[in-house]
Amino acid sequence: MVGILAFEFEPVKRKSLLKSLKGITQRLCKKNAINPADIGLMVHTGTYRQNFRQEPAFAAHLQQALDIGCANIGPTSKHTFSFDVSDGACGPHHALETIADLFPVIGCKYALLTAGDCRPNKETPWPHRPISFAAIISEDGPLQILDTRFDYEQENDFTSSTKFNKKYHTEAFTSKPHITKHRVEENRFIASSAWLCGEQLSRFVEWASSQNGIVTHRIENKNGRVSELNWRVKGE
Amino acid sequence: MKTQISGFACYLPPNLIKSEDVIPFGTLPRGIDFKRLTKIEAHHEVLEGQGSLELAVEAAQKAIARSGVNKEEIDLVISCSVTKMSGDLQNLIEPCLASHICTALDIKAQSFDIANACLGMVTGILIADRKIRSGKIRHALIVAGEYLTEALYEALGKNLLLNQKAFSSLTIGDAGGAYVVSGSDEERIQFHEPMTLAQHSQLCIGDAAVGRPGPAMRTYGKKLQNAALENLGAYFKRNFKSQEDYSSHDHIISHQTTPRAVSKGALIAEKTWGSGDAVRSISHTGNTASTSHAAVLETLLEDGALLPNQKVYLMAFGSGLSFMGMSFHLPSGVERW
Repeated sequence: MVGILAFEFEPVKRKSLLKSLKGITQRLCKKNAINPADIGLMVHTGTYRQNFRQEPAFAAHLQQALDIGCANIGPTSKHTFSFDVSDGACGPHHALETIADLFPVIGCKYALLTAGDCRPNKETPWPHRPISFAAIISEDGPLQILDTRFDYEQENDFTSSTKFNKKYHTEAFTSKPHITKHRVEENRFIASSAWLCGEQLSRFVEWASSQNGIVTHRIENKNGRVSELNWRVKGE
Repeated sequence: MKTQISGFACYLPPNLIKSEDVIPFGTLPRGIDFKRLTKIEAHHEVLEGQGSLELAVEAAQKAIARSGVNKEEIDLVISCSVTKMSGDLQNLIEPCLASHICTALDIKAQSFDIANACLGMVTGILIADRKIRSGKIRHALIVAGEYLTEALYEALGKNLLLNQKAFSSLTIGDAGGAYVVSGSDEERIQFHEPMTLAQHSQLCIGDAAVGRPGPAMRTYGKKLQNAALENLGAYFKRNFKSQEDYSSHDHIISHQTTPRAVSKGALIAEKTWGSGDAVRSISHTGNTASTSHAAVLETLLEDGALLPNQKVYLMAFGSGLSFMGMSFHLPSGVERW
């Protein structure tokens, strides 16, 4: 069983997402005496990238920025594997589950989960205030990932896609998004569907850190897709 | 629980475009002949109204039918497409493409997308493998629909002497690919180390075009190819236990950038393990990104070259620069597909 060992986040503000995530990951490693070379798996989750980039994975750019495992292959060289996972606001749950699934086969000491978004270009309307989030996942992390549940019964036809505007592509919608409000019901943290991935994780993890026992993080997407991730919070 | 590939398929839209018709001699600067340089004879292009979703769905339907798996027993769908482009050139942001694929196929399963460039499908199979082994799911559909050729036409609109990074966009083609991953009593899939040599992450960038609808791709083609080839021998040495381990494979299928690049890879395989004879290459699809291995498998199937229990090795590369090898046994009944 794996869990979050430590985390760090900040509003992206005027920085680039890459610089922001590089900075908080370096801080995270320094504070927790983690050698970045021991990170064998990097998974990023988010919805918006610079100019709607599709390849390579954002995690690969971050790996380069952090200079982890950036060496040619040799008989004993140490490497890292990086890729992205996405499903709108539910992306963090798939990403966490994927890390938990791959952790044993990668055979590393730590995995790095990052989340964050950036304004694709200046023509795209941008009502968001993205947060960059980074977490170190380890076998003995105190915020243990238990199990996930996905419910797509209430899925609606909300779709967002890129559409060419004047010079750049912007975002176009098929209908109004399904917006839910944030609330806490005992041990259930129900997130707002308006939050981007970084906010989903930072607000939940901050809340969960003060809890004890089994807690649930529920995310409803803008198009009604629901995911729930159960955690065991090991108290002091 | 162990795992197997119970079905796979590639869908190539029937619109076959010969290289000389779209990139005639004189298109490239300095008298370079595209076909002679790359050995790409042709590529396929989407039909009117088709996009990434339609390509993916066509391949998925074929793969599911071949696998004999009931749709109701598919518990996971991962889309690994680089492109999520509709026929009218809108690129999907949200929800994930896998969600649309599930709706189109009437599959009720966990669904999400991964982005790992041309290594996407092998990454997806690795995730599915872990979930099946741990008993979380019964079967998984790993699928991609690559509507790429708009990037080819974007590149053709550029002065290729001044925009040499657009050249690699000329090598691409459209395709859908799908694999069904299932449980098994025997070990029928094995993975070699996944790794990302991220010092090369800036060498191939695919994003939205500027000044026109659709995507664009900019690649330092030679640098990227050299980085892959320089590391291939060392990757093989690290991951194959012996010459026998390597030569136990009946078909070795590399990511298809160009047939010429694949033949360079075959030379490295030969130098490392003594034979490049099992390396397969095709010249009628171009580079179909994450679906390129499926395109070769489908071609071998049509040629009657695939037999039950034969061992296949997929050597996957993706911009990033990511590497992963995957060895699997062909399912019984493959000869009747």
